[in-house]
Amino acid sequence: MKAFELRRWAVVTFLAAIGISSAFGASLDEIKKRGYMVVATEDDYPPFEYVVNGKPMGYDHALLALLRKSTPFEVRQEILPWQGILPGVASGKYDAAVTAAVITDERAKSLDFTMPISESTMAYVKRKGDSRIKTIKELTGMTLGVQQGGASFQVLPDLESELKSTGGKLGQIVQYGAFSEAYQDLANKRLDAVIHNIVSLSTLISEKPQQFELGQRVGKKSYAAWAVQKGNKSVTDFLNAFLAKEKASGALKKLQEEHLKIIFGNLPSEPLLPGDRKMN
Amino acid sequence: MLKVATLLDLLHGAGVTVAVSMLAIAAGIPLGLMLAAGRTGRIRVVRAFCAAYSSFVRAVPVVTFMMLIYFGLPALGIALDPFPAAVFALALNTAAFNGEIWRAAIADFPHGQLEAARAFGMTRNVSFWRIVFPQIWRSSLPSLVNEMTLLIKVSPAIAIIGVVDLTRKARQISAVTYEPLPAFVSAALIYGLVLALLVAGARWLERRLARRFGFA
Repeated sequence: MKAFELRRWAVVTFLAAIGISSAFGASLDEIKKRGYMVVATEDDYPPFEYVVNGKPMGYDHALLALLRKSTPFEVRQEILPWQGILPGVASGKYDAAVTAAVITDERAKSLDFTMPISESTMAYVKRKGDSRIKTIKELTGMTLGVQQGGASFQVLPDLESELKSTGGKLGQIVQYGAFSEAYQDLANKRLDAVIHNIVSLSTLISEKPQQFELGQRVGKKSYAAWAVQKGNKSVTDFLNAFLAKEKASGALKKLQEEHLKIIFGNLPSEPLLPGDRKMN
Repeated sequence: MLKVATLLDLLHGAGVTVAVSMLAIAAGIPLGLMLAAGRTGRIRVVRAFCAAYSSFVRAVPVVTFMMLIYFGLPALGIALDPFPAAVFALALNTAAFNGEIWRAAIADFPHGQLEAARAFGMTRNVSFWRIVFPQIWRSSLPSLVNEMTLLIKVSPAIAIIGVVDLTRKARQISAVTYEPLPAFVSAALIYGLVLALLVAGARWLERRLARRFGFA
């Protein structure tokens, strides 16, 4: 089956799931009454969430551990691939996605977001020593790797207009299910650059400094936050209160330093769309 | 190269793949037989339902079907945990394909034998279990085993609902090591081993049947 067909089906299911069950998300009162909250996390998204020998690790897991300490109810966790997380939240199967979900216009239509937990502006990574690419301008006509349905895919129109302003054009785009495969293809010279958020790329560079080199930021400034079902205000407020507390105590900053290797000192206290635009 | 702990982790994923696939196969083969019986039976509504079911399930990609079962069924009040949902979805999927195999075998069954059975006063039910089934399960065996191997190969679809199978383990490992090749090559070798064992078992059974009945 071709990838785009699969994607189309996934979108159809996603929409169907929202349609039939938008009333199913539990409010905070219902969560307290039943005694547990269900959150979903990813398993292949270092440094935010990843799994080593069956043990979940990363920035969001550290935050989740703090959340568990501060809630009067149990927090159950389900670990699944990105492609299953947003449909699960939108359909009310999970009360929240405790993952670094990039806040985009498209997602804001079907989901609510907490305050940002990290910046997530896109950037590009190239092979170490590839002298053809010095700035964004030289990405013209190059073959780029992105994640299917990911924020790296959605930043492409911005990149295209940036390239056009200097007389360039967008080259071939290859979509991947997981970034590790895109990095492999970058190393294999099937790609000239891979687009991903600045945090994940910083982690990649710290792991593989001999192979890859970080490039410039691409597109508008954007943020990553936890996602909640659209309109489930009580759960969003609850998670925001938790995050505000951890931010005020300095714990958030400490975890950023430990896990993300970058500190974002002035994250906004409400979810902002790319380019620092307010939600309406 | 993979570390020993990583390899053991990968084998854990292989265990999940085998467990889910075997349970789905065990449920899917009798379910398929029921579907085929329904489609070749005398009740029109049941015939129509079974035909619609197998057309629908065979047309829907496994990943989508998996999401429908896991995220869609709670809307109808049926909330399954990931593991049972994975087994359920794969069983319903393979049942549709098994149903076609059983149906072909039933359609091909020599009419003369059925007429002879009826002449001896056997009911439809008795003649099915005493005459038809003992022969068609042997003739369907190679096709059923083929469908089993296909099922094992579509089983990575269960990862979408959070069941960590062999392929997902390989992906988790490659996300951390940034090197997909060692993990995926190891996973491919393990899949090969599982399928080789399955096919060898089927061959052994076919040979035994051939010796006992003169044909498979």
